[in-house]
Amino acid sequence: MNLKQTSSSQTTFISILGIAVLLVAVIGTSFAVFTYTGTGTKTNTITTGTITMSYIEPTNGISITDMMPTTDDTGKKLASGTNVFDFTVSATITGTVTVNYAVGAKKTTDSTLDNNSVKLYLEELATSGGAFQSVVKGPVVYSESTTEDATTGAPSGIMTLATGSFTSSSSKYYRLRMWVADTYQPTSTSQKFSVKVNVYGKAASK
Amino acid sequence: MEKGKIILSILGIAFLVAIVFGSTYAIFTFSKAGTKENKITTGTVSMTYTEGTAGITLTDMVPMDDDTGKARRGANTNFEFTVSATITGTTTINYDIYAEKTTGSTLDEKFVKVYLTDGAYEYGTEKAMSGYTSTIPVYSELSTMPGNTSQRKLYSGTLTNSNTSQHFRLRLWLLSTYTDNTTAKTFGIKVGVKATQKAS
Repeated sequence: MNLKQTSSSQTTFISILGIAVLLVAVIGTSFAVFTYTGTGTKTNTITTGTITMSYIEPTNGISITDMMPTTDDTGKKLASGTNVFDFTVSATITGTVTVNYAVGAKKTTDSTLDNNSVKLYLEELATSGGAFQSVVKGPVVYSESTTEDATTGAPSGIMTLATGSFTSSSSKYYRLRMWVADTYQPTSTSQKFSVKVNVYGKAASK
Repeated sequence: MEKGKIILSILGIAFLVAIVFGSTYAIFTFSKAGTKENKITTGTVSMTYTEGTAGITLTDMVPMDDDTGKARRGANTNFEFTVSATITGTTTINYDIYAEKTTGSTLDEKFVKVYLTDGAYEYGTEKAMSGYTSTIPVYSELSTMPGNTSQRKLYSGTLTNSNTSQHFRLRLWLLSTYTDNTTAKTFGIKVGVKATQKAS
């Protein structure tokens, strides 16, 4: 065998060997040379938190007829019954979340008395219909907001009486009073002013 | 193919981003409109001041004592008027009866006696209003109205929804000690009412 023939054979052998190695590498690794399966025993679970809110009104709203101009000192002491409006705002929360809320008063369309002739006054109570806890708003004349509140979800066009937040299940107890401002000058015609109380809530973004 | 995979990957990422950002906005909102109406209606007040058919007209008057002056009756010797209010609601209307001298009055105010009684009573049984029970004042002794010194207060009273009107009878006469008989002089007044209501 001459040199030329030897070189060619070697080349061929090396090629075949290379291909064989390649084949083994490819085929070999495509089959599991080692396998393992570990089965977990711990359950990884997520459960969602829950949020509910409620707004509870009493049976009757404020109803005062033939009301004359009233000083703030007198108005703030209006006795219970149909002279006050006690209501409750509650949230039930599981999980970590902050719910911002707003209490708003909305004038009814059949009101004829000027906004500046009505005073509103909101207190927070310790319990439903219970002892005074703090003054929340007023006495102040009725005035509607021109912008919505993105924090609480309260729309424009209402008078915000109170804002707050819940971070856990709890309730807030409020008492609303309303009277004819002492600046009002009675005429021979009776005027009317009426509001309904609405509540808005929104979870804070994280 | 590759292009398709790239597009799908981009869409997938975009979808994931949307879910992530979407879930950071309010996951909870609450809105409840109240159903109970909270209502107040205002009371009403209207007042009237009604004068009698004729005022006092006394010509060639001579000085007289108080007993004579108080007992005068008959046409043009006294002036009757009524103050009344229509009230719905609970309030008190405070009012002042005042007199204002007319222009052309030449008689000195200190020579004119003023006497006010409750016009609900008949002649002879009249009751003097407060301020006229013990002594009869002369016009110059009456206090001036707040903010207007040309007006003198005849009487202050109140009206409520249980006391809605007051009838008055006014007399004037020449003081018994007046001595100027040389010149005829005149004295005239007009009567008015001012009322205020205070917030309670």
